[in-house]
Amino acid sequence: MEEPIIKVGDLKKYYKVHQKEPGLIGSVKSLFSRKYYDVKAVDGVSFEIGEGELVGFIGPNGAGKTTTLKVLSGLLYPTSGKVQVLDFTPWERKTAFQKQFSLVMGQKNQLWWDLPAMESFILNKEIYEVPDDQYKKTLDELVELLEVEDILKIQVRKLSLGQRMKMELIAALIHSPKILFLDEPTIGLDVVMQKKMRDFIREYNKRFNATIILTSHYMDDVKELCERVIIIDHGKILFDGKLEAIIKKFADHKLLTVILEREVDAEKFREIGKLESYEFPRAVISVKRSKVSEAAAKLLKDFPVDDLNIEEAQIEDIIREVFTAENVKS
Amino acid sequence: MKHYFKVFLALLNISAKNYLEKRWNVFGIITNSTISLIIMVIFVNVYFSFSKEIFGWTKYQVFLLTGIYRCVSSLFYVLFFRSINWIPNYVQRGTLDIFLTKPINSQFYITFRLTRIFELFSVLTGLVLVYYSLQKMDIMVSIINWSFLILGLLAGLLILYGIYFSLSTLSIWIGRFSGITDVFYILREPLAIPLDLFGKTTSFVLTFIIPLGFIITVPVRLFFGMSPWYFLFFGVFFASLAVWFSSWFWNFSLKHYTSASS
Ligand SMILES: Nc1ncnc2c1ncn2[C@@H]1O[C@H](COP(=O)(O)OP(=O)(O)OP(=O)(O)O)[C@@H](O)[C@H]1O
Ligand SMILES: [Mg+2]
Repeated sequence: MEEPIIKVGDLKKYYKVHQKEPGLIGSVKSLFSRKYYDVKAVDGVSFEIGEGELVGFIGPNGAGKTTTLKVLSGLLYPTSGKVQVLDFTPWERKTAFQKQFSLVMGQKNQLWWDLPAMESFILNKEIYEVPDDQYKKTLDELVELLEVEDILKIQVRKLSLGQRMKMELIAALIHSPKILFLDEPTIGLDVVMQKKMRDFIREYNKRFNATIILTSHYMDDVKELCERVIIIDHGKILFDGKLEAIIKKFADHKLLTVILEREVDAEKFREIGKLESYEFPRAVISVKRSKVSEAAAKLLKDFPVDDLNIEEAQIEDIIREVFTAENVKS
Repeated sequence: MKHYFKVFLALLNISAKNYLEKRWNVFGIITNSTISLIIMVIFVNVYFSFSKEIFGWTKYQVFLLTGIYRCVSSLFYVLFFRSINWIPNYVQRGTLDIFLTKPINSQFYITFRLTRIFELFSVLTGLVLVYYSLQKMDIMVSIINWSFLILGLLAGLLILYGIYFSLSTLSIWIGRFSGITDVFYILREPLAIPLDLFGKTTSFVLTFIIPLGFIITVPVRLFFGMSPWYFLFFGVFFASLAVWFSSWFWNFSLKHYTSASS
């Protein structure tokens, strides 16, 4: 592999949170003796990302995804650990570094609310010192890709959420950043708009060989866009690798789908495996990997089977299980 | 340098357009500043109906100072006030995150983000009062005294900027700071009259401990030759200190910035 463009080594970010006791007396007491405790938002994370990669960052709420992106963007000073992005240390906030990346957060906006988005683009052009011809070229290209020609002159506050998100993206990309941190870029968008965003992100990654880290709670985003996925929970990495490898690593069972000729008592399936769903004539049973052939044979022998299908579990389901298992542990 | 100048112009431009989106604004300023000017004139007139001179100041000298006060405070509105006022908001809503990723000094960017060029109008009303009181006093003022005044006021503007910016920066530590505007009024109101009128001790404290006196009273005293010339250098010193401190405190606070969770 070529030299990675992002290097993160044992990164920790603890938030010091001031503990407040409830009520007035509690407030007064805390004035005199402040109690702090640490929220371990990121707790020893390491990874490397190569140029042009599109990596999905997933994890349940509060896993530490946004915090990691904020450290990579130089907004937060880490508690400990080593971070290098494009050979820079992000929190030194060097101009040369800041001109080469962009952070887009689905819930925060930079556009001027009462003005057409064009005005914000022009301001960013000056801030990022983008030469006129390059600005024109980039803007035209982005406007065409996102199909926003006709809304450029409309005040931002009159745009729909999806249209606004597209404009936010243009504002963030007008300086052609090499690295893009996208924190829940599809949040709140309808299915059609989500799809358009995805198409855009994929195209942008390909066309400009941009390195992208994307977080999302929509599995479709990750499934469609990211070859590589990093799963994070409670500030720790649970998995880092190809999307399909998640199945091998975490799914210890497969799904057997049977179509029955006659109705059978649900109890009877218990001896085969775990009954996931049963709606005559279709029953889905989950079975340990090692027992699959045995179970299939038994089904065919003892049940009125019309059709039998063996499948891998759905990635969504596996990930949900991984998260819940983790949450039960802690 | 050229980069910063261009961004400054772009910010002036965008805030002017933003401002014009709410047209009623302009009307509001004109009425507001005229009314408060009239109130001020009545107040000073009543004050001086009891004696010709108060703590060494005559009526028209106070009028002049009031006019200057109006110019300085309007200029502060034009350049800094709204931008600084919004810092707590940026912190709370997390907009600061986006500013911090920009390849430009964040204090500079925030300082000039929301200028209000149209409020220059109220500077005019102040100038009218200055002109009127000079006419009434019928004195000749040398170029030197004029330059003392102007330089002193520039330093004063920076002192006010440094103090107010630092106060607003506190929001990074306390999360919310909804009373920031009130704090500004508390800071500003005493500047409208000569600080000497507060009595010896108070005016000493407000000049050399909290250097509010150097914002307006001292420059006007220099103008009338009521303070020694080297007070100008005290003013410049306090201005540098205030600006330096605001920048130090800003950067120090950013190290502890935790960014609103979202
Ligand atoms: N500014 C802050 N101060 C204190 N604690 C914080 C702050 N920001 C985040 N946290 C805490 O740190 C942890 C990680 O938060 P983070 O926002 O990184 O999670 P996330 O993975 O992005 O979650 P989500 O999917 O909900 O966006 C959470 O427990 C959160 O409460
Ligand atoms: Mg998040």
